[in-house]
Amino acid sequence: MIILKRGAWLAGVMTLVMAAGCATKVDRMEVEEVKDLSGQWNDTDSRLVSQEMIADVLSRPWVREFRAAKAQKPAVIVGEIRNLSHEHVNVNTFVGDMERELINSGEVQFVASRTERGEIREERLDQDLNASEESRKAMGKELGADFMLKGTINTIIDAEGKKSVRYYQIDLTLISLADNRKVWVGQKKIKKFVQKPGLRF
Amino acid sequence: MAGPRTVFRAGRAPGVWQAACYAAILLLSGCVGYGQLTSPLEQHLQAQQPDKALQALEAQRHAERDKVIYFLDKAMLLRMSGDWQGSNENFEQAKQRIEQLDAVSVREQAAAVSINDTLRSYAGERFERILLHVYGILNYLEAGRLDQARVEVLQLDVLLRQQEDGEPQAAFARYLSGLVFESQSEWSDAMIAYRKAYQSYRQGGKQPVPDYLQSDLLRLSERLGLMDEHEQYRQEFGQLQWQRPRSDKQAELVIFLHNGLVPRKREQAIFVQDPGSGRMISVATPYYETREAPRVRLRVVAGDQHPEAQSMMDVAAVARKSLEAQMPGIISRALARAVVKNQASKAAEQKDALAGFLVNVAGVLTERADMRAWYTLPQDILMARLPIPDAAQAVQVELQDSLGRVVVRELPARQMPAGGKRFVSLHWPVSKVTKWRP
Repeated sequence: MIILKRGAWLAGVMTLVMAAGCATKVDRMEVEEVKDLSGQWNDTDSRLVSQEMIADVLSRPWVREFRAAKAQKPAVIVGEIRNLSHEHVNVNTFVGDMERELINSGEVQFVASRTERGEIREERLDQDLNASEESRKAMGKELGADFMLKGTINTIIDAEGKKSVRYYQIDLTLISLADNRKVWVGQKKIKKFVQKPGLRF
Repeated sequence: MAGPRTVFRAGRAPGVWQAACYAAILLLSGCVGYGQLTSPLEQHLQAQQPDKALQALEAQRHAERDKVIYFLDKAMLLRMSGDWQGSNENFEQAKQRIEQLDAVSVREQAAAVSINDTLRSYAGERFERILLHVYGILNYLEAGRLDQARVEVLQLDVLLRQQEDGEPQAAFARYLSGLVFESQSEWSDAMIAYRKAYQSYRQGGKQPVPDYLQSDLLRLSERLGLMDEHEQYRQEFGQLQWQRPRSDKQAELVIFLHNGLVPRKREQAIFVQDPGSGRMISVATPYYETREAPRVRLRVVAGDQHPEAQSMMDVAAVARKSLEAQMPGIISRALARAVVKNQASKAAEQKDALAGFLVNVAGVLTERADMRAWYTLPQDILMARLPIPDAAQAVQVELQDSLGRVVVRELPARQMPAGGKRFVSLHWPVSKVTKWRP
């Protein structure tokens, strides 16, 4: 009888252990919390790089010089950020992070992207036909950008067996749309050492 | 259709019931095996119905250890149906799974030397891993996403760098990398990729260096001012007719034909009865059937040009070579299994004769060759390239089978940037088995 009871207990514990192993487990975490799983480009890299690079671009003399010359905040647009890396990086979130940092700084004015502008122009055309005269927005009054931010994400990967060094280099350039002058060049580097497990269950 | 079964001479006469059991084993072992029969999936493919083949794939059960094959097959069937994005999502899943499987599983290794090789998770053979990236690149190119294709090329480079330059199975992958770099006007990277492709084609020996590659090497070496190298290629390639592009604004059409289906692995098993103990011993190993894809001619008709496609990768030959290279390991594991199973049977027999017999039967029944592979791959990849004066012009592609029947497909006009390359793939997954035996 005692043996049977012990057997039942053991079976119960085993079932619980197995069930726990099979169930999906979700833990909520802070957005700021760093969790590197594969060693690839992740949300933390995107956020930190955009924060640091935008802080750098806004602290340089071009903002001051533009304000002194034109007596207004410079209007900036984010152009193409090319992914030349080894990973299918989601460039959209990176661009989104940079746009947010730029707008929230209050130092510059920000112009909608090419795709967004297309949509807004369609809306204005629609307003021309359908909106009342008082509320209608006229064409040809858009704010033209003074500077365009362009850049690339590059990587160098050195791998040997289960070990690899992943080196990321993000280059951003701010170009004056009036005369093609490069007013700021920024660079951020990230280096990661990734070691994959040799054994699994 | 079963592979051959060889039964060697019995050492001592077994009892009637024992003999009957062994006979049953022989019959049963001829009936089982992954990939032994033409699957509904293949039937749909042969009928050029990738969407129905996909339904058949989804209707099958896929063990966790076979998930890589499932993702690869699904990705291939989706691209055949024109869903490039869905295809690449599945290739990404396959990549992640393969990366997890890079670590060795002690449990699976133990199962491989005690039961059979199919209990190991399938992580794809090296040529399949290379082709995973190749098809990923083609998906991005056909969808017009050049930067993403370039990302895939760089990932492929990390994989190819694990082996020395000149690996024959990497030849087409290197060539395709060159095409991607060239599409982005990265001439020196393209030149390096073409050089490596040339080295691989030469080392492979069986596959001739495609005229297109010879032409690219001549053209780019001249463009980059590598005149010594250019002269060397002129001497090596002899009378090859090659053309300098009229201008960098010249658009180009690149068509790939994925012809036939890669051959299936079959099982050959050897049954031997130990003369001393009367116990049965079996050893099962895989081999490739012989398959023939119809001799299809691909002709592109654009204005007064009609170039024919050239073979860029003989996938069937690469698959065979890969299996040959693995055979020492496969045979060693099969022999180790035979020893382990025989010992287990002997140990059981010492306690109880019936138990020993049953362990022996179980050992023979579970002896199976690993016949898993990425079976939606083509047998051969062919390519045709031609400059087109007007990027937006419609192009006619003619496929002519061995009976002379011509299938004409019209590629609709599509806007392309000046100097851009338009990439198109045609799948022709028709083939028939011409030899079942090794």
